Amino acid sequence: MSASESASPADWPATLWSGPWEAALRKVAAWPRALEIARRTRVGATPAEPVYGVDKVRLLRYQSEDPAKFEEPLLFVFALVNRPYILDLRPGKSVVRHFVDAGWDTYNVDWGVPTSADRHLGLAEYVEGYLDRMVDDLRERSGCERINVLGYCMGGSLSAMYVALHPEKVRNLILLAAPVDWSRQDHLLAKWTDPRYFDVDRLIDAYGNAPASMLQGAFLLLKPVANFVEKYVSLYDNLEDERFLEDYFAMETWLNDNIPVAGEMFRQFVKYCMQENRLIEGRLKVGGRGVHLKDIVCPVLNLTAQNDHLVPCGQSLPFNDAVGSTDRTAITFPAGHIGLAVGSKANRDLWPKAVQWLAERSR
Amino acid sequence: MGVVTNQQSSTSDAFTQMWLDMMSQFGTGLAGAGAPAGEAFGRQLRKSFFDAWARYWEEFLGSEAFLESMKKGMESSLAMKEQMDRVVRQAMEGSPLASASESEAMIQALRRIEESLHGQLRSLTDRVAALEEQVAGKSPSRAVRGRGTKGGSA
Repeated sequence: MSASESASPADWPATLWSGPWEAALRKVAAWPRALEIARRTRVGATPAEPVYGVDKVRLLRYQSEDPAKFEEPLLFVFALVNRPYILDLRPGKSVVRHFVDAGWDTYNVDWGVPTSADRHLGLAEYVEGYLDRMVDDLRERSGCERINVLGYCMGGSLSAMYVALHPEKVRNLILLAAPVDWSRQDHLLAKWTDPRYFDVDRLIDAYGNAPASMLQGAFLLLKPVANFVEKYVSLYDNLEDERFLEDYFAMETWLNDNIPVAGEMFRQFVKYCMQENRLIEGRLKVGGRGVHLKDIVCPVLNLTAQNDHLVPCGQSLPFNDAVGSTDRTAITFPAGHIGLAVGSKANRDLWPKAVQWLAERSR
Repeated sequence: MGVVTNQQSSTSDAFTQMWLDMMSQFGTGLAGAGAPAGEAFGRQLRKSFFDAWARYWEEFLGSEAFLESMKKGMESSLAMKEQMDRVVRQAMEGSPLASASESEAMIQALRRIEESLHGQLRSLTDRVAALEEQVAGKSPSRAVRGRGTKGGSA
């Protein structure tokens, strides 16, 4: 017999209050507090200031109370989709913080929000233009011939192109869930961008830039049950957990902070990389120059996520065989694409290793 | 009537498959961890359902049927956007304001000038490098060449 069946009528209010009803009412009572947490959510754990800029692109420098231990600075290069603060989301969930605390003068490229005036910016403008100027500014600023680069996702692909074109400017390269080989077509994003079904030229000709809402919709639809159902069930389950709510709303802030991608850049990346796989095959040209990954000779650390639904390991790991470096390391971590940056396990177990790897190779 | 089309059949097959997946995963979970009780049981059942549902969706979103409908949906939405843009362009004709196509033509002209200047700069850089090579009798340092490009237009 259950507790409610055994209770006498006099005990009913107390028994009704217990169990699932009590839990449900507690959740309802927790909503105002949850909304207050949502309102006060702030993203970005480490103070940063812009130190250089070209057009809409800014170079952000993370502030540290301690002087840098290493001469050569570290530059984070994020994707052009979404905002770069995912790398420094919250205290305890910040990749940036690991490197700042370990003693690197740390910078991040904020690509800005492209408008219709920027729709003609392509790979050449981003890699040979903006990124090169950011790197050169850092080299002048630090007085070092070489700097360290960490590229995340599409930012990793751009970093790989850059280092292949300018190997003399980079001391160490870390790639984080960065796609370089699109030969395998067995996952959703590859199927959706297949030229038989996706006419990127017509899209960009019509819209100018790749619309943020379209990109957001596509990314959410990659995991529909997780993004449209499980996430909200999990929110309901944890409505009384303040720490969970802080992390949840910080993540939601980032996920919904979408920006468009400059049209020509999107067209070239989809066409040349995702559809024609030119990067790994050495057929990609940026600004008239051939990009050959074997020209990358610096130490390389390639970090991939085992459960990555956006960039499967198979798109990243071939990088280590394609480069000319002799010092190549690959780590596949049990996490998802975003979990690799903000996951508690990754922050505890993966990033200290990455920091150590870089420290052993830094000046 | 008992007529079942191929599409209905494949949908029901996929649903049956999802259901079987869920039950099988749930059964495996129970066998591995021992029978959970109360809330833990509910959570495990829910997780099994979500996992199976997610696999079902992933299969559907990669299916030929979905890809074809995605293509058609995108084509119609782009056709509508193109039509609207045409209407706006026609309405703008005769207006003293610069139209989008005129701005576009101006941007294209600027881009052509920019590309031509870049080409000339690249050719000059190569000639200087070749001269340096001749003078020094060895290959010039790439770092010096790299620094020389700083300040160039993005």
